[in-house]
Amino acid sequence: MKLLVFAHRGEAQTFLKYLDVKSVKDMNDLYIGDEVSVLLCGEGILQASCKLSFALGKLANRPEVINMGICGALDQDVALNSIHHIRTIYAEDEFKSFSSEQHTKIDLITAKKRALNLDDSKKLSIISQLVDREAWGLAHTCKELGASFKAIKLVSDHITDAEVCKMIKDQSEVFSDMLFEHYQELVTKSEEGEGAEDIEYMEIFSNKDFYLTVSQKRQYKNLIKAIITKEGITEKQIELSEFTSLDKTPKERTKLLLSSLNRRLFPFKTKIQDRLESLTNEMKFNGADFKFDKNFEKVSFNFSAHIDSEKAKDHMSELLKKFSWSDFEKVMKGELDV
Amino acid sequence: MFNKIFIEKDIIENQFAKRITDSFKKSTIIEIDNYYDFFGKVKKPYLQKRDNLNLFIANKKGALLKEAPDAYGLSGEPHFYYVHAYNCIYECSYCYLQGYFNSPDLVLFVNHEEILKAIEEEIVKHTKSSDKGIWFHAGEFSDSLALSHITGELPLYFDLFKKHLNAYLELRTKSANIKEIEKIAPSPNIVTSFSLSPDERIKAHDYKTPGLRARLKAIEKLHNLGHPIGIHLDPIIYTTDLEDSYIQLLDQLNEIIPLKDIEYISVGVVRFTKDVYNQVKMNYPESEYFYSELIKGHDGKIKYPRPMRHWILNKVRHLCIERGANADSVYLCMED
Repeated sequence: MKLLVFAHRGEAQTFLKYLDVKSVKDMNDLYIGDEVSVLLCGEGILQASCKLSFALGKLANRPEVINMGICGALDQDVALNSIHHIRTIYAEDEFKSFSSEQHTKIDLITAKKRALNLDDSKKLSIISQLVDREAWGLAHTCKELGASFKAIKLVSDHITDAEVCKMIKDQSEVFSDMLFEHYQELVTKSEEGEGAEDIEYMEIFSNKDFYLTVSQKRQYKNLIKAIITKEGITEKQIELSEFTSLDKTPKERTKLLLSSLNRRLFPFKTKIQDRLESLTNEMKFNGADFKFDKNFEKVSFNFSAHIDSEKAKDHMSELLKKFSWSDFEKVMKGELDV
Repeated sequence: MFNKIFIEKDIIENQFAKRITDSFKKSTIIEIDNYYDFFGKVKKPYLQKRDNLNLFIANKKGALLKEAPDAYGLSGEPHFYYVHAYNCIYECSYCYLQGYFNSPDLVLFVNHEEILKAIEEEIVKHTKSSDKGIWFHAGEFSDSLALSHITGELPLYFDLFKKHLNAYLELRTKSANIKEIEKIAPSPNIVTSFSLSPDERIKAHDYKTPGLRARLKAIEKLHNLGHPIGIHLDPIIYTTDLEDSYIQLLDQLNEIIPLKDIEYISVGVVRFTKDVYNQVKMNYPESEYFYSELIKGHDGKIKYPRPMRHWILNKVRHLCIERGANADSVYLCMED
């Protein structure tokens, strides 16, 4: 679901004409459709932010918000009528900025007032190449409400001392047509890309030799993603046969698989863990439990044991005496055979 | 190199400022009252330094000298750093500058006479109360040498420290730009220190910096000219071939300068504050840090687990000593 946001009706006119959207009874300037909705947010940060907040409240699902419209160019090198996907949005006298597109080089600043002269333009041009009146307010609202946001702007004029508002208004239909054409291209591209859905992780989830709980699925995804990135391989290259051939239950196999992936991803931590295990094996075998800091930061551990007789107490006490604190310290000081 | 250059009106005639603007004749120059009115006033994403980097030429206001944090240099002597610039032309994936200023734009300060005066006052004050040395470091917020052929202040700093041999100056760099230092006679108390990593690590993490060969060549030249050399093996990023890669690096270094002749070698492992780590995540989401063995420590810092840190530091220290470095000259950058 997309919500296309325009400052003025003039910019949105072609969209309202061709998109299947209907006006909403209790909110002027919001037009709702099945796939796409349109909002006319007005000018100024406050106005834009308030209207968008209200519109997002009216829509059942959180949409992807796209601000489309015209803007001024502060940089004479930016061509008139060119359309830009905005990288970073700044606002006049505001510290915060919002970035969405990483692959473009055009930034925009939302100005506090409508009519800019050359002096204003010079000041704002230090920050960005383009200027508008609403994008920052919209981006801010989306950030607060967790909606994705991007801005696509058509350059209608270069900021000079000349009065251009009337001229821009007269051309609004042309601008709206150009924006609509650009939007249609984007929709086509995005539909073409939709076939390549990510099917990673699916294989093991449907494999009857394994049983993964919800949290194990998450753990598996994270481990696989990291190993794939680290080793530059695909999921298919991760060998499962050594686990499927084991005479174990699916749950046990899954546990072993996850443990093996962990060891593969964190070889150093595994060595630390193994060394600590070897120091405590005998006591563990006799029913004691050792808990080390999971990040191996604290030079301490928790020890517990179930004692049910004098003999068991003496036995555990003897074993504990054998535990070498200095060996434990050595491990924590990195004296490991790596 | 720079999209726009902003210069404070008061320093248009400053010799260092002129030298800088003369070097970038194609850039648009804009006069401003105070760099502080613009620099960091809006949150400019760090990676915009790649194609939208501005330069501010300004006077450094406020404190010109700052006490260096613990674990900065060999212990036992006071350490200060002076600020000659904010931000860096390089782009290292682990760099804490990502989370430090709100802008990647470069600020070059040109009131060197005032900085030098502050340094000299501190030296005089220290000399009255101690017979130990005192250290001054450049490059806390920027590379000391990367633009030194453009900024042109090094001769002044050399002149001052040559007058005070109990005071030490460290010029810390990842560059191989030694054009300026080469022209100046060496002094035993002025150390040029180079940060080194195995070549693959430089390629993977020190974007836009000179490669290992160029840095080694620069070290060789300066050493042959008699300039004292320091080495920073920091940050070390763990790989399964860490030992072999550092053996290779140290052997290469040993060929051009015997390790025993190096003033000091610092050894440190990669670590991040939470804020910097979040910035790194945003800037380099595919980086190996995010599938490495880094953990979040109890102090909130992102680092390798304690045994791993110790193992790496001790291993590399041992490799240095094994190859002839004086044990006293190898120090570990560690907080525990």
